[in-house]
Amino acid sequence: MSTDTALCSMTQSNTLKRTITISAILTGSLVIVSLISLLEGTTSVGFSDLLSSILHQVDSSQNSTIIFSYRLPRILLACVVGAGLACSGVVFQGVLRNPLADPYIIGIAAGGALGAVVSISLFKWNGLFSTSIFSFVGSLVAVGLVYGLTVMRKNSSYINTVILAGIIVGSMMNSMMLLIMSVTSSHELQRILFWMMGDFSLADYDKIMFSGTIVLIGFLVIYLNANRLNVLSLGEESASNLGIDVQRYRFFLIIIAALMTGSVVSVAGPIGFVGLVAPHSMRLLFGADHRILLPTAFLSGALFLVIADTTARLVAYPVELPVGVITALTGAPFFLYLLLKNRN
Amino acid sequence: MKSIMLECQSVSVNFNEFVALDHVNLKISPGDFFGIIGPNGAGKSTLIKVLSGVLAPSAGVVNLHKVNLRSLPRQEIATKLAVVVQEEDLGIGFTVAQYVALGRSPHHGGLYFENNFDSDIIREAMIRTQTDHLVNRQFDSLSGGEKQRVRIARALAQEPKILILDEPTNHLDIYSQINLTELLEQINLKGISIVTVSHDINFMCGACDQLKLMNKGKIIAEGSSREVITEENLAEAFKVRVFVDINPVTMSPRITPLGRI
Repeated sequence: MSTDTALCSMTQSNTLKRTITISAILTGSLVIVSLISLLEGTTSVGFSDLLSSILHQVDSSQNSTIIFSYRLPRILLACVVGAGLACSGVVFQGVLRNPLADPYIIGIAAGGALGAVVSISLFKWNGLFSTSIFSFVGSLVAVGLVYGLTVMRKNSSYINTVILAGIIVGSMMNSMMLLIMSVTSSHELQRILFWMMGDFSLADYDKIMFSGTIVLIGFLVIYLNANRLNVLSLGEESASNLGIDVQRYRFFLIIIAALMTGSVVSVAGPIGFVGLVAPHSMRLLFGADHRILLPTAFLSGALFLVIADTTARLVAYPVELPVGVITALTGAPFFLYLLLKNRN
Repeated sequence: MKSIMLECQSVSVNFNEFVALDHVNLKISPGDFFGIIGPNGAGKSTLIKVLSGVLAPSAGVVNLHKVNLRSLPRQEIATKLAVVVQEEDLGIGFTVAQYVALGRSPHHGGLYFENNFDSDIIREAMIRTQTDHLVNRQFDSLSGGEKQRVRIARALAQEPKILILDEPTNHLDIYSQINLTELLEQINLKGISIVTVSHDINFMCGACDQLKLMNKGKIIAEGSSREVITEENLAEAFKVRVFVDINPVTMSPRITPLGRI
């Protein structure tokens, strides 16, 4: 390909056109998968039943209840959580310059989980808002610790340091969580256990509105910094020489990503590997430019989690699996693949 | 008298007890092309970090067009001054075109899409550095020499007035070194001032108009390569006996290390 043709492909209209086309395709897939998920389950609903339920909203038939009170909120929440985790995965990978940084693997989701458990168990605050605040604070503490440990050991292999620090912070957070749970009354314990398995069966519209708002605003704010993320992924000195105030934007983007992680963990529990699988599939397909990567990872994160949740509902029918099991089963081999690919 | 673009006024940098730079004065005017040489730990890289504003001097001041560099926003500095550093290029995943295009970021905000003007500048930077045939390659897959030229292309895309290079000849074979020398000369002829740091004295003698020899945080000799590259100066800075003669082809000084002092 000649230079001209290749360079043309990165001019304004083309990068934009490409982003929009790919996003449209992903949105289409998301709608189709969601429709299938809406119709399939213990009770299969026909497409015509779905249409009639939508057209007659007051219809209190069984189908309508299943669709609007059970399956739809579940799908929407899966979308929000998947998009949020994937988006914060992209940010952590770019800012920490580590392809393996996923909110779950580097201990941030565990921090969020600990925060939520503290809120539910110690303070008996299980409202959406208070668990989210605690969850956010927990995520921030975890990010701070991982980041601090990494900076302290700057001379060692960077990729391994982030992962090791994440494992240490994650297991510390997890054991504190177990400690709290061991002194928690059985009623709250059940609530916590359910939530910890990472599951959408308790989805409701309040949760969707709450975390959806944070995820959407967070995404927009991060997308407005897409080019800065490109530059930050080159490393501290280069980014600084390219005109980025590194400390400021790194801090800012990490806070936003931690806020997103905290808010989704507080409504759905810690769900692993979404922040790894979605961004990396998109990176392999469409490259590392964050202007394309952010929206595609956002949408494919939603897509991945809707598929995973539908699978979790249907695969061992009539038993439902926790969605975290499905994401881990697909995500862990993917993680291994990336680890081997990046070993040099 | 030439105008001064970038100027160090009595700049010192201390890392705890260690004095990395000791009252260094330096002036860069339009069209300058000078090299900074010196032994390991002489303060060369520290000087580059101070000149690019990444590191704050412990004492003294660095001015860019008579304004204190530390008071300028990073983005504004990056439109005037480009730096090519040795960096670990760890799983970046950009194509060469995307990598060079990042050089346009100082001219834009947090989210932008390149316009035709940007594309022209990116294309020109790649043609000048002979990297246009690499346009769709992954940056990570390039050889050392190719990476260095692509980094320079990115720096040129910034449209700087001053180009600073840290150890540009590291890991380059002689073909790539010659290529680099010619490229830097061409860039300099276009009116961009160049400051480069290197261990490679023979390379620096061939490439630079002016040399500055550093030792223990001070500039101990400066001038043309014939003035700076003397047996006495090198003995003082490097603690080695060298034989200096004139390369009959390039007419610049050439050194042959003989042994330690």
